[in-house]
Amino acid sequence: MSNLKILVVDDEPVFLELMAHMLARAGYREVEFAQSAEEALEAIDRPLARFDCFLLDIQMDGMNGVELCTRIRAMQPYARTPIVMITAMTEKHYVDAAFLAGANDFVNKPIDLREVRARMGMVEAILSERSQLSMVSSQLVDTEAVVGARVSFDSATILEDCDFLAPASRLEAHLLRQGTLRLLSSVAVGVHVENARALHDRAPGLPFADLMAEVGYAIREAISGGDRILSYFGRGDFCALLPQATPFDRQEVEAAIELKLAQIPGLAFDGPGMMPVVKVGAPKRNGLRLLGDTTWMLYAAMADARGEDRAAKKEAIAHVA
Amino acid sequence: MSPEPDCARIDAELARVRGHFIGTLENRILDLDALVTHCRAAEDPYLGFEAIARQAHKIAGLAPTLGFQDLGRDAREVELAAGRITPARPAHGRAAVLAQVEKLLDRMEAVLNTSWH
Repeated sequence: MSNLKILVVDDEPVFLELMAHMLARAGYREVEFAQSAEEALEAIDRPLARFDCFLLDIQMDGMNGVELCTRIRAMQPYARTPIVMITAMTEKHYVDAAFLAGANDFVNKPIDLREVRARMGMVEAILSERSQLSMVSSQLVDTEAVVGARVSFDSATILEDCDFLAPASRLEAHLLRQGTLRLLSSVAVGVHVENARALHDRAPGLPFADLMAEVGYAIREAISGGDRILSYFGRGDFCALLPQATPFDRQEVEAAIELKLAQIPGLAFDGPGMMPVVKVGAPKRNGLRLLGDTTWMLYAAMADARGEDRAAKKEAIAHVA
Repeated sequence: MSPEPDCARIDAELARVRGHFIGTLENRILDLDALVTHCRAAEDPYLGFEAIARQAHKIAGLAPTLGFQDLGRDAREVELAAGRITPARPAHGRAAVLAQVEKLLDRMEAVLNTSWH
């Protein structure tokens, strides 16, 4: 039996009963319910309220679930609390919006117990990992250099606090939930910081994380227009997911990123040798791989940016969910 | 790990939720019927169809899990059809959509009638 505190929000009372039943069968009994976004916000605002997870219906009268997700994410205690959206197949146009609003995952209506268990298992895994990371950090000597030195070169989570980047795990989850047509209309573009290892070795930890954040911001500004989602995968690898129709020229984007980085005062640590050197890969689509691993295009895009001859395998890029 | 609850208890709990759902069918039928009347007569039935789509969405999200697969399918079809009505052409395809809503209403009445026997 889990003691996770869950808030379920849906404007259909019978559905809330059903969720109570499903969650109880999955081992969750500390569950509260709200029949509207407004009621949910009141529950969250209660002085001693502290929820570990939110399950939000998308379509509700008044404030919808996507807007509610945005509001919850804006609250400091819940900036990273797992949020699972409850969606129907007819709501695919809301899925992107929910994802951009900060949702972690989705459960489909009509619900079944197996999927509820799987999604809650994901929630438990996220919370467990964060709890372990928090314990490790709190045991370290509290100096920025020491804490920063623990930021691994491989880690994809060093930029989790950047609100203009989506966590790598969320980008993967988003692709895994896309339907065929949406996948066909999306492309992935990889951006690699060629001297990331040298930059990290010279100034590891938080200075490296800050530098990658500046690079990420420059990439985001350079790839303008349309709904683009950008994530950091560790080791100087970024990946952007774009609508296929977005106008895109690799060389222009590279030049734009370089220009933006050059304009940041004090960015180069000790001369031009330490300025991030960025390579943009060719756009990649899943194509015939739709029936296989739908995240293939992300790794192929990043491999292309690294100039690798063969497509990268997922195992080559370690990331923390 | 706590033991899996016994099947009889699970069935009883789900039967209770199912019973509550059936208990809501009468009002849902009345609401949909009123919306059908409005959409049939109104010059601009767009908001009426939007309301029908929302009602159908709720039924479609519930019914299959409670054992009413056909009802869920019919509700999903109504949700999609009513959702295709646009403000620019609110009466376009009106008759076809209303026919689907009538089919959904028939299905809902059948479920209700079966539960009374």
